[in-house]
This record gives sequence, structure tokens and C-alpha cells, in this order.
Amino acid sequence: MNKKNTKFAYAINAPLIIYLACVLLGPIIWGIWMSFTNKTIGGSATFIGLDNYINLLADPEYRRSIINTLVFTFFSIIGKCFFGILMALALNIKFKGRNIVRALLMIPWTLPNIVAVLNWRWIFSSTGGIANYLLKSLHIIDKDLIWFGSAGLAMATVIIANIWRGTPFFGVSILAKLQTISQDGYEAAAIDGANMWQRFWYITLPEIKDVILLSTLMSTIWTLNEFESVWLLTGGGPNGATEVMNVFSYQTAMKSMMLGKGIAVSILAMPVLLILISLLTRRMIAKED
Amino acid sequence: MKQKKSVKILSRLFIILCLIVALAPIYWMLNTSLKGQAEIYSKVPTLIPQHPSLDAYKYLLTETNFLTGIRNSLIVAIFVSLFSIVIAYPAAYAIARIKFRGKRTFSKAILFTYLLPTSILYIPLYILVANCGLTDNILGLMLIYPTFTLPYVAWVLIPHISSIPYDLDEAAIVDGCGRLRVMYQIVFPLALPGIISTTIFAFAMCWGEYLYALVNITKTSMQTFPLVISGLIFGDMYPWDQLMAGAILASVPILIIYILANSSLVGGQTAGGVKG
Repeated sequence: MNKKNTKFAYAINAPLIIYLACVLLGPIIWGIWMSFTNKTIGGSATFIGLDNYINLLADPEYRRSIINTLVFTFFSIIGKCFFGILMALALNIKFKGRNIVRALLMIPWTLPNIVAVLNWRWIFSSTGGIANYLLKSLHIIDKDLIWFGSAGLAMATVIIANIWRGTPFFGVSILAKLQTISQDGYEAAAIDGANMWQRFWYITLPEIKDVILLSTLMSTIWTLNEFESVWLLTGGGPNGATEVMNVFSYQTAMKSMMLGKGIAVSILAMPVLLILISLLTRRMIAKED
Repeated sequence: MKQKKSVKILSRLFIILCLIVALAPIYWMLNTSLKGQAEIYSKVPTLIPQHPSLDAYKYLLTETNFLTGIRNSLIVAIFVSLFSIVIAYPAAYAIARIKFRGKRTFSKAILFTYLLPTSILYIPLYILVANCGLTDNILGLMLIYPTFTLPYVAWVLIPHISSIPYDLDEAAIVDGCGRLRVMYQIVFPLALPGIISTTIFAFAMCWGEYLYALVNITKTSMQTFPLVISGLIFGDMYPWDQLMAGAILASVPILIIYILANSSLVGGQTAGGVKG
């Protein structure tokens, strides 16, 4: 770790550091200041102390958006994690054409989000949507459901769309780890008469625990902050039933033009995000060393 | 061994189910894009279009500014992904190869910014773009998109570079090769498969980006394709054939480069490319 090394390293890192300082760090600091003002679009900013934060915490719409976010994230993560583990386990068994199947199963996740969202909006459309038709032909329902018209169903559609798109991320991450597990343990366990469940619980799970945790943390950070899929599927409706935190923030900042209050929404979410991110950072960097 | 067999059958069935769940919605998208309005709303949905036509595609390409949107998205995504690799490669190289003061903090900072959700920043970045006079201009998107591609590219490249044997660097240095030459002429070509797939994922991140574009661009001539397609949706009647045609067309470039990336060496490591 000599001086010459340090100098060289900073010289080649300079463009990245300068860019991130100007376009990322600068705006963040500025944003924090802005959250203490009544800045509007096109208006000037006057310092109003903690008013934005106090108003937010007293605002039932904001509090509902936080609850919606938690519900949405909780069920999405459970679904993605569960199906991701199953997908990884199934793909871990060798068969012909496995690589192609793996690539095909990744497709939902590689598509642009907007494409996936529009597709689900069409599938759940109350006129002509295939979801209603399938459920009717299976005699699960006898009347068309208005998916985006009732609170519970609308939340279900955004969760389904999120799980559909996010599962491959879990699947592939867990599969990569599964493929490094040696077969010896399984063979020994099979000789000892361990059943499938026992082998999974005592051999597989301890090995993939870490990668499940990492993927879950990562996905939680991003799901808590989901905007476009919810905005484009339901617009936060009906009556705010699917209005998650960032849809609320968008409505506040861009529709009601209250930028200061909109930023305050993000800043209030920061402590939770910082905790999640630092948990992840610690684990990921520790793994590096 | 009986149990093993039943596991095999179960897992095959599950994989088939997975394939159906993953691909049927995409088939449905293609199917709808080839139908006329009447067939789309018919009581019994048809699994195969009975009167397949490319009208929706034709309408989309000639009567809307979809092509402008595709062009704008291409310009932004190509510029930003190349810019990111140029700026982030040296940073990744430094972290993977050089011992320097503050390295741990530096790599932590990169990981931190990579994990930071884009939606946390959209208002400050909106104000930044406005202050630079770049609202309603794709230059504004080019300015702010690297905030999410740069940390991603840098972070993902570190293990790629670390996996190249250090002996090569040492041998080159003994031969009197300068540090920059080692970085660009020895290590860069060896890391190329990783660099290419990372660039491709950075491209994909910009290609489908919605929130930043939505906030910063309203002028139709500057819209990227996600804005053009979502612009079609907020009418009274949803033109599903056109929407699905747009969705298909917008997915094609991504699927092509995804197949290309998949056939190069990289798998799970680039998987963090979508913040989903």
C-alpha cells in the first residue's frame, strides 16, 4: 500500500468519483435540504423546518401508502423467494436441454418492465382479458371479475406481476450456489436413509441460506421502492388501495407539484434503506475478502 | 431408488409448469398483436389468430411516433452504456488489482450506490436536469442514467477482473510495461467477455427505464419508447393490438442481446442488472 499506488488508483478513478460526486452525492445533499423547504415546481424554496415531515406523518394517505408498500413487498418477496427456490431445485437436476430451459425461464426478468406490466394489464383486463376467461372456463368464478376495480384484487395483480418478473432473479442466484454443492454429502445421507425432505433441510438449505438471504435483502430494497409496475398497472387505485410509497411520492411531487414534500417521502424511507443496504454491504464485502 | 424417480418426474412437471407460466403471457402478447380489434374482444379468446394481420405493427410504425421513441431510446442506451464502461472499468480495475489507501471505503461506496433504488433520487435529479436546462431533452437522460449504470458496471466487473491471473500483470511489468498499458492491453482484452455482457446489461437497464424519462420528458419528439407506449394507454379505449405490437417490438432488441450475452461466458454474476 504505497503512495505511488494510491496516487495512480485515484488518478484512474477520478472520472467516476467526480461524476458520482456531482450527479449523485450533490443532488442527494441538495434533496435533503429541499425536504425542509416548501419548494414547488416552478416556485422558489423557503425554509419551513420540519413541516413537510410533520404533515406527512399526520397524513392518512401517506400512512396508508406505507402499509400498502409493506403488504406489497411482503407478499411479493415471499412469492419470489418460494418459487425461486423451487425453480432452482428443479433446474439443479440434470436433463437434456437444461441450458435452453434456464435461458427461457430468464426471459420474464430480462424483458423491459413496461412490457411485462402492459402484458399483465391486458391479461387482467375486465373486458376481453384472458384471466377472467380461464377462471370462468375452470368454473372458479361465474362472473367477470373487475380486477382493477376492487382493492384486494388490484393488490393481487400487482403482486402477481412482480412475482412473475422477479422470480428468475432468485432462481438463477440460488441455482448458481446449488451447482457448487458437492454430491458426497447427498450420497452419504441417502445411504443413511435420509428422505428427500431431510436431505433438503440438513444439506441443501444450510448451503444456500446465505444466497437466499442476499437475494432477499436485495430484492426487498428494490421492491420497497417499486414504482412503474404499480403506476402503470393500477395507477395506485382503486381509491388508493395499491398506492405504494413511490406512487404517493410521485403524486405529491409531480401531480400536486410539491417537490419538497415529495423528497421528504424518500428521506423518511432512508433509515430503513440504509439499514438494509448496510446489512447487505457488510455481507457482500466480507465475502470478497 | 424409487423415490429418486418420483422426484425426477415431479421436477420435470414443475419445470414444464414454470415454462408455461413464464412464456404463456409472452405468447399471449404476440397473439394479441396479430389480431384485429373485433377478434381481440371476441367472447371466446382464440389461441391462434384467425385472421392474422400486421395492421397493428403498421399503424404503430407509421401513425405514431413509436420509431422516434425507439431511436431516442437507442441513442440514450448506447451512449450511456459505452460511457459507463469507459468510466467504470478503471475503477473496477483499481479495486481488483491495486492496493491503495481508502480502497475498502471506495468499494463500499460503489456497492452502496449500486444498491440505492433509482426512485429515491428522481426528484433531486429532476431538479438537477431542470437547472442544467435539459428538461425535455434526451441529453438530460444521458446526464442522469449513469447514476445507476456506473455503480452496477463497476461492481460487476470487479470479480471478472480478479479472476484473471495476476501473474500476467507481473510478467508484463517485469518486461517494462507501464501501468496503463497493463490495464488496457493485457487485462482489458482478457476481461472482454465480462465487459461485453456487463455493457449489454447496462444497455438493457437504460432501454426500459421509465421513471426518470417520465419525470423529465414530455415533448413527444424527445420521448423514449416506454413513454410512447404508455402514452397509448391513457385513452378511453385501449388499443391492445397496438400496445402488444409495441411491447413485442421493444422486447426484440433486448431478447437478441440477451441471447448473445447468454452465449458468452457470463451467467449469474450479471444477474443484478435489473432492480426488480
